[in-house]
Amino acid sequence: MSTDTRRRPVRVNVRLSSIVYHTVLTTVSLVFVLPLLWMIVSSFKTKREIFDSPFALPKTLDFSVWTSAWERGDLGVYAVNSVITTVVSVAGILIFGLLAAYAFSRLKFRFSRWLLLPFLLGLLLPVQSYLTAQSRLLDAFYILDTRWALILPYIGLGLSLAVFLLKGYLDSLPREMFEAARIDGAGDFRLLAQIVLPLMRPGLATVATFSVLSAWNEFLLATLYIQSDDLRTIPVGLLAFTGKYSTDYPTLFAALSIITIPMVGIYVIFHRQVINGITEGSVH
Amino acid sequence: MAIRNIRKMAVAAAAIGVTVVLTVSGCAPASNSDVVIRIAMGASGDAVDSNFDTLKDQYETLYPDRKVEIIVQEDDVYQTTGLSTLLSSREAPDAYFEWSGPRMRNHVADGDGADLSEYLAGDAFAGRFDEGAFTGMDVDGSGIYMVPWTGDVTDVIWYNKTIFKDLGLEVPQTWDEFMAVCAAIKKSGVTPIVEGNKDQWTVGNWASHISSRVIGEDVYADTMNGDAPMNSPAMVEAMTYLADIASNGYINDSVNALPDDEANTQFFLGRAAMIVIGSWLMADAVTDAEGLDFGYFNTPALDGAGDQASVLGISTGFMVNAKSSHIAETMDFLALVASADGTKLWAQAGLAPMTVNPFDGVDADERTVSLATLMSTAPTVVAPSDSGYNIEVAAAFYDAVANIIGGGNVQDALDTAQKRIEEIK
Amino acid sequence: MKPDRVWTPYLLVAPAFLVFAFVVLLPALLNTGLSLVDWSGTNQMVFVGIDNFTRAFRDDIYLTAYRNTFGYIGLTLILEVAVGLIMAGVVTMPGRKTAFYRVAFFVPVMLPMVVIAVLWSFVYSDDIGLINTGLRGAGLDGLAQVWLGNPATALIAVSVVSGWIYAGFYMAIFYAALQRIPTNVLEAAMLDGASPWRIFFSVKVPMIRPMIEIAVLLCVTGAFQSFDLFYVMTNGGPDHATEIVTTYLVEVVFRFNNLGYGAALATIMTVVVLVLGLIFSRIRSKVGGVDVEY
Repeated sequence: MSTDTRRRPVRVNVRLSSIVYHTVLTTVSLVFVLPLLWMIVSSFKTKREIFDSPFALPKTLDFSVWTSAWERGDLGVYAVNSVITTVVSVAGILIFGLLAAYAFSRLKFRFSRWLLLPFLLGLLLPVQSYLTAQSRLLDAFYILDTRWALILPYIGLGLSLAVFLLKGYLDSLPREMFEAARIDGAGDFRLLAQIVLPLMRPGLATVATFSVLSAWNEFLLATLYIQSDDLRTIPVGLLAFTGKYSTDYPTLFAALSIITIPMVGIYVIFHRQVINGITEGSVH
Repeated sequence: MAIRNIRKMAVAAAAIGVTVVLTVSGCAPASNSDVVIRIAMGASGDAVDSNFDTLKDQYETLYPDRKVEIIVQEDDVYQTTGLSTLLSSREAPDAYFEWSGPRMRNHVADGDGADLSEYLAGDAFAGRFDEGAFTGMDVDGSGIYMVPWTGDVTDVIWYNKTIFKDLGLEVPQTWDEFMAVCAAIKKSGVTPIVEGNKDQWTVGNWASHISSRVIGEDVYADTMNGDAPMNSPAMVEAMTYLADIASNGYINDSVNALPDDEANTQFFLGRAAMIVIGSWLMADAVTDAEGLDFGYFNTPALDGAGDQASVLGISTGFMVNAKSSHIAETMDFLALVASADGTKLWAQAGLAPMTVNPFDGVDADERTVSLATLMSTAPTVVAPSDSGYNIEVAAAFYDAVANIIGGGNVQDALDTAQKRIEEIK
Repeated sequence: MKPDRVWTPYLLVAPAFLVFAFVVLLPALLNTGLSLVDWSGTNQMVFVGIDNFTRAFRDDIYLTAYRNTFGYIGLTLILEVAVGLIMAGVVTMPGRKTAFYRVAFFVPVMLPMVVIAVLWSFVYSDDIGLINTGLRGAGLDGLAQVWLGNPATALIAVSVVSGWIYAGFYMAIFYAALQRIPTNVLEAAMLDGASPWRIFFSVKVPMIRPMIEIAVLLCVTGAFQSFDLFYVMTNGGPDHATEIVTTYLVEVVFRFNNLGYGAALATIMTVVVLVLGLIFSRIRSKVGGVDVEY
């Protein structure tokens, strides 16, 4: 077969380049993963070992530092708080965002442009620029230092992107589909439930992914608006922990590992959904 | 059909909504009749934190219908954003940690500080404090707005005795001797001084001390209030002492990147021979020093208009919120903090309590005791510029100091600071 | 399409609009008002007109903060968007198994900022840090330095961390976009004998251009909104070398209790960001021609 003569050298080439390819990519991957592994390994060392031989392996694998970090750090409480805050915020963003996006995308009504515009501005406004007034306002409504002090701002901040992305996605659906359903006598709520919701899964997944990532790691508002220790979320709880145990590196590293490993684990399991989620809604 | 479905959905949604609201609103309040007092402070180490828990338990046993909530924030967060957010919220704390002097007076001016003189004259505090403990806790000579807690010497020079002994070095009495000591240590291959100036107050405090010695305490006060020029020849002379340390390489290169607590760790691990920081190093040493043999000396005498034996220090205490509806109950708690038992707890934790005979019957570290004596017998006590004077002037000054200790030109740095200070006015 | 009832659209928009108005719109408007007063948060407000604004334009730190912010934008466009694009190109080369790499690259995005700060403070540490140990091991002692303490390198050092975090994020965006390019387009190019790199730059990249534009927009607006990383790593230091607009804003408001001045700084930043957004959309609609829906 004539093609054989052409393929043979290419195959050798492919094998060689394959080795180069994977070596390079593995090295690059290490850059991303190694600091994390170093932290986990170092949690089993003493403070002096960390300073004297930072890259040596620990002599023993003693998990007692992990259990003591867990107990001393109230990490369980912070994790529960983070989960509650994130879940409620993301639910709010998805529900409110979808309802509004449907109206903006599919329905003709007065002031629709004027009502949409603020959401677009919200995409560009940094939260620091109105932080002071926001905290006063939350305080005036007795919301400060409750879970709502984070949930409401997280919803508000997430809605801009949600409305923007979901509206874009809805805009791309064929108009005939909606009009046909309307002629069949379907109201807007039925359209939402029976047509929009099923078709919007990928878009909602995108918004959910963005929102989860930003709510879970949000730091500034969580520092300022929550003062009770039993309401603190992970980012702030960890900061308090680093303040308290800032020089007790083994305990600090153990605590940070405890928080990080499950997150990475969840991500490894769902990485396809997460990565698809980020782009599904935005590219089409 | 469809409409019924939607109604069902609406009912379900409403039910979910209500559940969410209930869950999210969180913990049901304790029993309504309980008085809850809230005390806020920055974190100052495990030993201190657990002492507050001990006092909280004592208090709740003494007064079964009252609860204490201790709000501990990361120290730097507390001093910058934390306390001001706490105080401007409705759930403001009943009492909070603060330094005496201008920071305290600002709170009083804002209506956040109650005059406590009546309570402090009562039985619960009888004989607990000497008159001198209340210095800097009044406003224009009237009232007392703090229950004194600790007296901190804000900077002394801690040194590693083993390194000094090995090199045959003596504690320096003058600045020239100090420079000679640094030179000898550097020659031996050890970093002479380690400082963690990432947040700018460590070297900044030391620079406050040095400038007060050189330009005199009165001019220093005017300068740090923005009423005298920051770039005067005398200030340039004062900051040249720091510039010498930088140019000779007597301080760690990482000085402006290192957090203060990491600098402590480096000193405890023997990676540097000296560290310039306050008396609270003892509180960390309780858990972290790992058998290190170390002592301290005050900044050596310089040439200048100020008192060359002055001590840089400031007293701390707890203010009570004037807006609190439980001032009396809060004072009951602070009485425990100032009690003989409480004093014992603080002394054991490495702090220097402001109460009378703070180390009676306590196996306190002799360095803690002698630091407390240094503070109480000092001919002159100078306050650091960031806790004693205008905070924005201090920020400009500390910027200049960080620049100088990082190797910058003294005159340029002080000129920049002066320009900024004029803008603040 | 007409709504089924006149009030339906308002009912649908209401929840989103009310929450948004309460936590974003109203505070933003109130803040503009605050910029005209002198106020510490608890004392009597004093109306000072535009004094806060004139002070801002003479405030060297504030102007430095803009220079740093733009420097940071420039660096992250390279370290996040460009690097992410190249990484996406590499992992989408035909016939490679790359799931592991894609997972690894994305890991930093998941980490809390405090974890990142602690990790990197050890990477950058002057005596035991990964970089300096490596340099000294290679005999390059002269290059070893205090990366976060040297005003000349601090901003770059923080930007590198930022790149480390977000390059994987942009890779993920580009990866999915590249996967969607119809295979027949690529096959045609391959039959023409083009090299993989040539195909990447002259076929694939132009095809995912809308996505790249979105990424640039996200990167630029994200830079103005970034705060956590700078706050935990350097808090603006050394000598304001990493002071960005948001860190300075927080210092003015919360450390100096100068709420009026802080509000003025915020108002100016809002205008700057909005103008940038407008310029961006102008450029896109003029040069672009590709109309993306999003």
